[in-house]
Amino acid sequence: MFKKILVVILLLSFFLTPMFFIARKQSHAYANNENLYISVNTNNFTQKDEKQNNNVTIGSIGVQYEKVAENNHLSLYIDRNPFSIKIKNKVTGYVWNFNLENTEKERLNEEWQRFAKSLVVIYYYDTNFNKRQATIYDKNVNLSFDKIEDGVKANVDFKDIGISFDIYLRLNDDSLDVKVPYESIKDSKGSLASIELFPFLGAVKDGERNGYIFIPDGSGALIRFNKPVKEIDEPYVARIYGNDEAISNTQENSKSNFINNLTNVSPKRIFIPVYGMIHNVGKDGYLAIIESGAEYANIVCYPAGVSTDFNWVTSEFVYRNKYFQPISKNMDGFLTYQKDKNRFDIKIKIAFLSNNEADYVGMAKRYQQDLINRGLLSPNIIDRNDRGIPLRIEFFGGEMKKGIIWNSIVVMTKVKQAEYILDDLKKSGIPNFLVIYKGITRGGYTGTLPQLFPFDGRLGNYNDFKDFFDGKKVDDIQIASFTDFTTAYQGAGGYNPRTDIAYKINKRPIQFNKGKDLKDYFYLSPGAALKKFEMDRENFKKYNISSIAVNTTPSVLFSNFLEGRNVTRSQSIDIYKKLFKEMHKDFTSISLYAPNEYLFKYANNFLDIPMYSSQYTYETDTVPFLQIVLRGYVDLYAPISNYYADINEETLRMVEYGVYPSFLLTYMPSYMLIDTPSKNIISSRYYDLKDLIIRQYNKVNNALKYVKGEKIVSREILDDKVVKVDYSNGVSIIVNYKDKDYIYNGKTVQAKNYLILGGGLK
Amino acid sequence: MNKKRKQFIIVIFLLISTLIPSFAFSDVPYSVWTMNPDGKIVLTQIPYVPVEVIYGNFNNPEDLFIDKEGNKYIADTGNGAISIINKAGSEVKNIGKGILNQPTGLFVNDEGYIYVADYGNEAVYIFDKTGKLLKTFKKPISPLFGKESKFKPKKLVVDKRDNIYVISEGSTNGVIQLNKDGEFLGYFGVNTTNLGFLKILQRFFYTESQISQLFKIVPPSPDNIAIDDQSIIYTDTRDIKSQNIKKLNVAGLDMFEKDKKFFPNDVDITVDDNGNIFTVDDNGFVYEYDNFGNLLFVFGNKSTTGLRVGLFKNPSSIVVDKEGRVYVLDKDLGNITVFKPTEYANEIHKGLYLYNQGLYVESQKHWQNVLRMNSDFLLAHKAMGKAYYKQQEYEKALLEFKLAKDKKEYSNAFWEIRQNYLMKNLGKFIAIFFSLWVLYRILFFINKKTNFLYPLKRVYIRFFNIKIVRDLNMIFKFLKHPIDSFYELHWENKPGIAAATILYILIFVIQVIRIYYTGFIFNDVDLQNVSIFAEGLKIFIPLLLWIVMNYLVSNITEGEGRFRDIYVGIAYALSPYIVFSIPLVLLSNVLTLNEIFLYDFGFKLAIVWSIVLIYIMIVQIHDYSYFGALANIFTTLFSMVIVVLVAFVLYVVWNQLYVFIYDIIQEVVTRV
Repeated sequence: MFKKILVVILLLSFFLTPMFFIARKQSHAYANNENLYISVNTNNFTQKDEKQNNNVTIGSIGVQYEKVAENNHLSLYIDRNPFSIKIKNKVTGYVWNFNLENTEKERLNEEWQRFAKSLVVIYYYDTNFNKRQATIYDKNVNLSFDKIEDGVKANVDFKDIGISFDIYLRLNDDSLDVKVPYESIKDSKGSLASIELFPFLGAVKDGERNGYIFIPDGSGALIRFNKPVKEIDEPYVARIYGNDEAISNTQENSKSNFINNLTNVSPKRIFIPVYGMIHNVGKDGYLAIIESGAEYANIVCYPAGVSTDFNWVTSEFVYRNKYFQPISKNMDGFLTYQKDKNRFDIKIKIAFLSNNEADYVGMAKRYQQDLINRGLLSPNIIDRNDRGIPLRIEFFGGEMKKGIIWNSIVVMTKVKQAEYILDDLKKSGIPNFLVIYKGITRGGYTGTLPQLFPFDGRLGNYNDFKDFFDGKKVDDIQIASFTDFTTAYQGAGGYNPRTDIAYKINKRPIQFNKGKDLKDYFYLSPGAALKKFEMDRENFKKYNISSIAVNTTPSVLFSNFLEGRNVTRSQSIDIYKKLFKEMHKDFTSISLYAPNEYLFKYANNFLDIPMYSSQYTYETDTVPFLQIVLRGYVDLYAPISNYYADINEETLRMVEYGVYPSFLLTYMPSYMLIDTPSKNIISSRYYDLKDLIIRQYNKVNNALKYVKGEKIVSREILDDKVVKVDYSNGVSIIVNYKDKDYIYNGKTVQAKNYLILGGGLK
Repeated sequence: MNKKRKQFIIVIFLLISTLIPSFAFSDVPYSVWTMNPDGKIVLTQIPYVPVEVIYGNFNNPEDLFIDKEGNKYIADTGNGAISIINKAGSEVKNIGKGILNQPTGLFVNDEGYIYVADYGNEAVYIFDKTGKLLKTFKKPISPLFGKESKFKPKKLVVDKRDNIYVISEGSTNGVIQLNKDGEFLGYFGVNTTNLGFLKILQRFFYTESQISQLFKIVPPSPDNIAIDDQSIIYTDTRDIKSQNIKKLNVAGLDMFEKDKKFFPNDVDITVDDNGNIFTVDDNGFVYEYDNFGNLLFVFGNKSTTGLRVGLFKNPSSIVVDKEGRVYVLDKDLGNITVFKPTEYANEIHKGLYLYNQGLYVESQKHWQNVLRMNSDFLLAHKAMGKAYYKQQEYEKALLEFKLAKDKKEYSNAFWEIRQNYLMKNLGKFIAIFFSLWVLYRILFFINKKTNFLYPLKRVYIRFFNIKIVRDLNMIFKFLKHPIDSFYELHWENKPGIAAATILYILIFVIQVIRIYYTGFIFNDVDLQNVSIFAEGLKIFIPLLLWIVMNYLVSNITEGEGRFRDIYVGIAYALSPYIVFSIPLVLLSNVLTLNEIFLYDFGFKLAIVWSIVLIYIMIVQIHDYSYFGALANIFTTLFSMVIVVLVAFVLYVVWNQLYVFIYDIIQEVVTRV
């Protein structure tokens, strides 16, 4: 009898213990016989990592695999038939699968099985312009291999479609360098659409393993491996550096597009071409850095629950885009695809991270190292004086107002008034600024670009401006002139509307309209932007402008299909690099509004850095990846705080992310702009915002002045909404977003406040 | 994109004038809108941010309710049950399983009884807290309810006396009111049928039998219902354009002003403790109105740019809790998104709460905060104006009302200012007037003795002898002696063509002056939408048409007038307008709404007078009989209409031709 009871108890405990663990794991999940209920706080914050040391499966390498290369960090194994590779991280012993091996037992249909198994997936257009998928498991695919130094070269030949190319796989220190040279691509039918490499590299089923996918959505986002509560039907697909405005596959200028653009806040752009995955936080992970071809790549991520039970992420390199060719005035037309392939080499560096590096901070550090090695990030002259952090103030000069006979100017901030405001702020204890003066071109803020000069006499005379930009009146701070070398309004001066604007692939100009009684605007082609800058150079000197802030140009990347002046997206990057290199000769400080990776090294100040991700429901965490990469190399400034939603939280976030505050100011009340194109400026009067500015600045400055110009070394989630950030000078900042105090090592971090530790502080 | 969305989009498109969302309004995946009284949509600050998403394996949930303690009740329609989640979120409970078939609406009263509208079972159920079934109400048997009437309960609310108000599908008589024992009390808040002009015409002309065939018009049945603390019932009818949201008093009458506009196509309506109304529509837009029905914000959106926190797929219910958090239930996603009010929304709500009680001055500090965050918030300007008005700071009130574009209140404030000014300065005015009169008498007297003003007089006479000046001066003669003047015009060529041309230009100048300088109270022109070119066309095209057509028509109908006569004649016939306009425009700057008749009457008089002069002119210069002149006028008007029609047809044809050629060129360029 006693024996029987014992057996029953043992059996019960055997079944119950895992259930208990499952219940523990999802802290908010409540198992109920009929109703599962989960409450999720928004993904605006980072969750605490559970570092599990048990149940880590190392993985195995079958006998059919042959070791083809090896170095101190990694060894590369290959199975030639069917084509499959594995990488062993010698530091941790972990084996990375580049595809899914046993697809039969999974819940996958045949097409998905082939996809999951295949190292290479290509897309091509059939005769009906439909995009189709092909894998190496299809019929008539030839594979051949050559040994090369430190690796192997594979040739993949899709005979039926007439597409073949070489893939070079080469071990390089801690990473696998993958390359598909443009020259090796044979595309006899001209139908190649795109290539995806190793889509199932490290794919994880549901929540089988602790870890996450990192995607560079906005400031950065994590997708933790979880069993989905609800099926989702949309994957994450986003073009690196944003969409090419010269190629659109929708009917342009249609009313519904216009409304959609206004009612939706578009998702965040991808600033950096990286993505990665962590298997067991603090154990293993990889980071894929796209070193070439990024401007033609999409980052594609399918969290578990989208089509399959697997979490996977990859990059899709697009050779031919579909686009809409209108042929009539009422925008009828047809969809077609690019005739010529985009010309680029694919180069991906897959860096394998071990132990302490294996989290998103490690990824950021690894990427930072790569940027420095490739010369894309260099320690700029950033503000390192001991005057406290700079406060970014944007002054809004004047705006045009439509009149019945002629347009008038609504004067919002004159030079003298700007000086007065700076003076007043200084008296209130703010010691350091980055000042940007916008809306100063004659004719007002809207409608004048690309014209920058002359400045409007109603704001101040030549000497006023000169003295202001000289900084004589306001000692030794950066006073920048607001510029834009891309936006060109219809009817404005300073460009040739026929040759200087960029054209789409469907032979229409890239054209925007932001309101029915506003003029349309175009994009100046990259070449014209360079030309425009050369023309304005003298004028900048004339006004003693030594600091410049550039809008639009650093954040948009587009091709130009104007015949005879064709520029590809890759060539655009080169021209812009040249433009900013030239700019560096004339200016001591350059501020860029939300620049992409290829311009990081030209920026002294990164303005409007994203502070959030796009908040897709499948994203579980938001992380300051971009901030960790750039802090210490570029000064980072938040978007303007005028229209805050939750000022406490937003201020704490600046402290946590190491980002400086920004404001848009006018001297006159903002309701004066009510009947102008800038009516969206709903609060900007200095008088209204002064208290807010001083409060926010002091709060941020009292923390960040100790880490001015320092790099972020590590970031740890101590508790839900309590974050500790360590800097390179030994200072740590603990930020507590919660409504309750938090005790750290006997010290209290007050609710909705922060605590500063270390670094020889008093 | 479905049709409704398209309609909405077109509505919005008409309303938007200029927008550049170049500044990030915090980080939410939707933009927030509000509407100006002149119907323009403007972006505004974020009033609500998503803070939490509650998932459950609900199947097509249709309704959500939150009780006083903060427990959430979900009508899990697809699973035929009610889910109850306690406030802390630590406990989930299902009730009604096996009894309920298709619960689409629910309500929980203060005692915790759960009322469920079951569409599938055609019944209303009452459960207690533990889930025990207390009562079942089927279709009422009262003859008043009507045998033919169906009982298909979709939504319900319960008032303080436990009367149940049931929304039943197709219930054209309005809301079904039951007492606590399920007995039928009557119908409540019926919608009215809206007859269009065509229908009214048909009704007028058709025979009885035709009417009985045609007019099976039944009023639309309300689709949703809400109740506030004072047991005021709010109904929402999806598909009607006006009065789609009603605030019903005990008698079932709508308490909103007739001209209040609410956005259509709502899927649910709810009311917070202060009477603010929240609705969500099938485009995923959430609307908040204050308790007078003024739109405060529109936020949220459908997830067209990906599934992001704060966007919906198919919202089905909306609820506000005690703390002002907004909960939106999504049928397709099976989740509840929780929105937290920001400081901005909180300040507005506090301000509104005081303002609605008439505590304008007390509400002022909240409005000041609101304006600091959004200086364009019109309701805040209006409230500030009222506060200043109450404190007798009329100058400040005047500015606020002007910013709020509230003409009525502006007029009141202006009246006070004018009154004060007059009171203070009346003595001064009388003194000045009197001394001027004395001065004039003295000068007159001295002049009579010495004639010292003679040189001045000579200049004066010489000036009026210049032909053009004399001609222009004749407009006063046309006012006084029109018949003589037109006679002279025809037979003596008295005013010249040059003077008439100047008058035409003057008419245009007057138009511009009217647009610019008419006082705020009387000025309905939106300067942003005025184009000088269009204004010119508006004046000159009818005038030109008239002159030409009248000349042509009179020529065939034996009129004697020459082209020149008509050209000059029309200019002078309009002299009342020319003479009176400017003084009226000036006057409009010192008048208030109380004296609006002066302004209106002045302009009407000028226009009628001008028309009379035109008639006299036709009689005189063409030498017509009085009837002949009338005939001539109508023929001219008719021919003008014809010319416009022909011009329009030509324009359309020309446009078609242009598009045709354009398309051919495009096709050749892109395909070849």
